[in-house]
Amino acid sequence: MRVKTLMRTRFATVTEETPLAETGVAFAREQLETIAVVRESTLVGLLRARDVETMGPSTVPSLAAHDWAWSQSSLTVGDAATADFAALDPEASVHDAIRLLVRQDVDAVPVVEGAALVGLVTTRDLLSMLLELLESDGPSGLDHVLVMVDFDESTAATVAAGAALARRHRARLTLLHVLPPPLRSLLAPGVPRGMLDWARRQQRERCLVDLGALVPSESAVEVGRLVVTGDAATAIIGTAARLEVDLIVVGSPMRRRFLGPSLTDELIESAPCPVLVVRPDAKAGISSRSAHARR
Amino acid sequence: MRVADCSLAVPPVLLPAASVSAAGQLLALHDATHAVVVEGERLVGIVSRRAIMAAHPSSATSLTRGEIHGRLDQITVGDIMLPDPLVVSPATPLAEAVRLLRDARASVLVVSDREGVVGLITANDLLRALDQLVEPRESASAGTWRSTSEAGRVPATGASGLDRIEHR
Repeated sequence: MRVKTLMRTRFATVTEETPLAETGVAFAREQLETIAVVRESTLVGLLRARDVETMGPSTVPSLAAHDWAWSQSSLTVGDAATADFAALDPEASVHDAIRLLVRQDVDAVPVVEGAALVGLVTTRDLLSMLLELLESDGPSGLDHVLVMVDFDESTAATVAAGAALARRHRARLTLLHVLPPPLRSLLAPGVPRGMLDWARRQQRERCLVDLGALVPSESAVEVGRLVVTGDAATAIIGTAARLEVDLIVVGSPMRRRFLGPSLTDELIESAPCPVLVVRPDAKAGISSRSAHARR
Repeated sequence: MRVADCSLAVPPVLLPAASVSAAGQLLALHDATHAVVVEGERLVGIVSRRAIMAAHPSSATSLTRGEIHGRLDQITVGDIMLPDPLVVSPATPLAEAVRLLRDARASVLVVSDREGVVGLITANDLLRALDQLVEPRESASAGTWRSTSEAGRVPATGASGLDRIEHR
């Protein structure tokens, strides 16, 4: 975002000849600590409330009583204003504005085009922007994200998107893999039940280990792993409801089925929360944003 | 985001009976802009570097330098502190803290839990939070700011965090 879109263009200014004692009105009207000093429309200085205070009488009555000359003082804005200030270009970014405000510890910085004063970027307006950003994150943000892992070509992108969202919202992340229901009677009629159960437990253990390897441990996200057995849609929706997750992240294409609606359609139809579908070739647009913001 | 997600500066602590000159020295020592004023276990106010500067007499005073120092030694933090500062808890949503600070036109919020003061949050801290949240700046950007003083007066960049800004 550019400074020209976030600056205010209506504000009071003073001239160098304005008596210092009269500037209180401008400070009060703008409710700012910084007033621009102009000659014609050219910016020539900044008047800061703290400079006026420092030049002015003590705030403590016993000392102010000795500030005899102040009230009849002939001091003008020109005496207190600083001509050594930095200004922003209208094309500067919001980051530049923030740096300047923080660095100079002021509550407003001027925006100039050529030598002409065209706007003012204020801390107050930026705080309003921060407030909007914080509140547009949704009423409560995300607390728990469920990622459906199929161990196929879409897994990497799906997990990356889920992890980036979880990191951004400081949410918990649960990785879920659904094993198809056993087809014992059909495929292995002669195998003893105990051996099948053992093989199944082995399979679950392996899946849990594989799930654990998907999110690097240094990623600062609390990760849970879950393997359930059953019909994929029923298992995902059931798990989402049980864990009270705020978002389900699935890869696309989901496991194909021979009949009926696709799993994605079914999830979108009946999931208890929003569903995010991630294409296998999706570049992690979410994670790149947080990575850039750090720079 | 909650208040606790921001990095909070731990403020120096003063007693109401401390002299203004001592308060100024303490703030300078800690390179802090604000100190909290406590009485026993209770938070009673905030004193800022700016309030200390404002307590100094104007340049048009009839007092001599020695007299000024003598009198500043007698003025206490309790005389110039801002009583009843705004207090939030670490669990307060950040948005609520931002609104409180903005609407009260305050420069600082005290962050306090049951145990006591855990830190301060200033408008500048919130601006830094905004800096993290807004979209990354577009890579190709023109020169963005300049100083009115002659070329070279702009302090060297790097440590100041201004290293990405080109000078014209």
